[in-house]
Amino acid sequence: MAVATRHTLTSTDDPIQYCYDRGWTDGLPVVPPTEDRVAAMLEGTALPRDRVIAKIPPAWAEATVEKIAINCVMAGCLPSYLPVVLAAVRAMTDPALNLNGMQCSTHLSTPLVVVNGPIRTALGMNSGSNVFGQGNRANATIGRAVKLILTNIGRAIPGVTDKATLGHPGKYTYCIAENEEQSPWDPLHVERGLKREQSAVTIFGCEAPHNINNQASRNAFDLCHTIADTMATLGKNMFYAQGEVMVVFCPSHAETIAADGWSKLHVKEYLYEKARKPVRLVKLGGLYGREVARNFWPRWVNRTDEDEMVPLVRRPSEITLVVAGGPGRHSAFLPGWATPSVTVPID
Amino acid sequence: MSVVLLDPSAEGVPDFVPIADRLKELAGKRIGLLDNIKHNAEYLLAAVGTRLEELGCEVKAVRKKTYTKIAEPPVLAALEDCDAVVTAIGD
Repeated sequence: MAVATRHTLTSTDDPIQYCYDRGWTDGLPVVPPTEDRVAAMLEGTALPRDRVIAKIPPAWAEATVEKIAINCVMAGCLPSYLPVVLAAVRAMTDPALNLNGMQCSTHLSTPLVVVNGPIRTALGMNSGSNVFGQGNRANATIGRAVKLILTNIGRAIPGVTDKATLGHPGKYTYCIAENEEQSPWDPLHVERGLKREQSAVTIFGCEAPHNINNQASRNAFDLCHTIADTMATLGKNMFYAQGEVMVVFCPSHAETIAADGWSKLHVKEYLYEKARKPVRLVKLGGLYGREVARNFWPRWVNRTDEDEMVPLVRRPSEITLVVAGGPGRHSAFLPGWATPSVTVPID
Repeated sequence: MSVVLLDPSAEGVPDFVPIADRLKELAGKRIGLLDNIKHNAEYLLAAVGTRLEELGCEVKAVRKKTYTKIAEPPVLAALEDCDAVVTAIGD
């Protein structure tokens, strides 16, 4: 498949309505992907337009640079955003993420895009107040482009091949930048072996952010206890399928914890130890069944002891920490689907 | 001048994968039972297997390692000599 099919509209066709009629939108109007707009978008990369970046499940159709650029136009991206979307496509098609399963699952998880490095400021991305919310073009349209790619190229059609029982608002757009400037710790991409001056995208398949309100705690123990308690709730895939979870710390919470001398690893170890539920409660529902106890829980969990505490994930490294957001004392917990996040550099 | 739009959707792949031909009769056929290890799948498939055997089928049961992923190659290979396969279970 060298180039995308060209659709010639009649003089009475409204381009926006045409996109609706073809099933190319997320329910909101899109920018019609004309030849000129796509050509301008392609100025954002040196890659040839017919280069295949990945195949997107469940259709396993080729995501060429051109196809990705078309969806970027429709989402409202500027050409300078294209490298971020290209990196996101590479990251989310890493087999470890099991995008095929995530796209088709009855579970509501969807890929979250986390951007690190200098490109955040170059693109004017929001890493501060209302970071998960509306208002920033780069955050909004990079996230939206990824979702349009999943539905248009991947053909994850709601109710047909995307079998999510509920879905969540992040299926329209789900993209943040880390607030590296106000983080007391190494940013996510540095933790994962990249240089601070590199830019990177991390993709994590997850639920919507769950708020953690803690305005009173003034030490790491009290604050992390609140976070662990929010994390350890029944109904999460994690207690049954394990996987990975993410905590997005607001700068103020991160500052309080770091002031007590806690590193990221200390936080992860604490949350791993404390975010647990006893076997007798985990067995009440969720995905509990024959395979769960046998295959997914760590071997050291005594399945026959009703009071044994089951960890949310298998090891501390499966708790990913990001600092983002503005002033205030609210962090967020993002339960995963069942697979790890993937970080790739932005070329 | 006419507006031309570039197609953003999947191209080069079939719109739908056609369903396999259905068996006209069951007696004497080998039927695979693919357990995706979802909750209660084994019980449902066991009941289906019993019924199929009553109808004269040979039943061959296999299981995936995880329900979220496409069946592993050895699992699919084990089903190659089957005339039909029943899999379970959705949520």
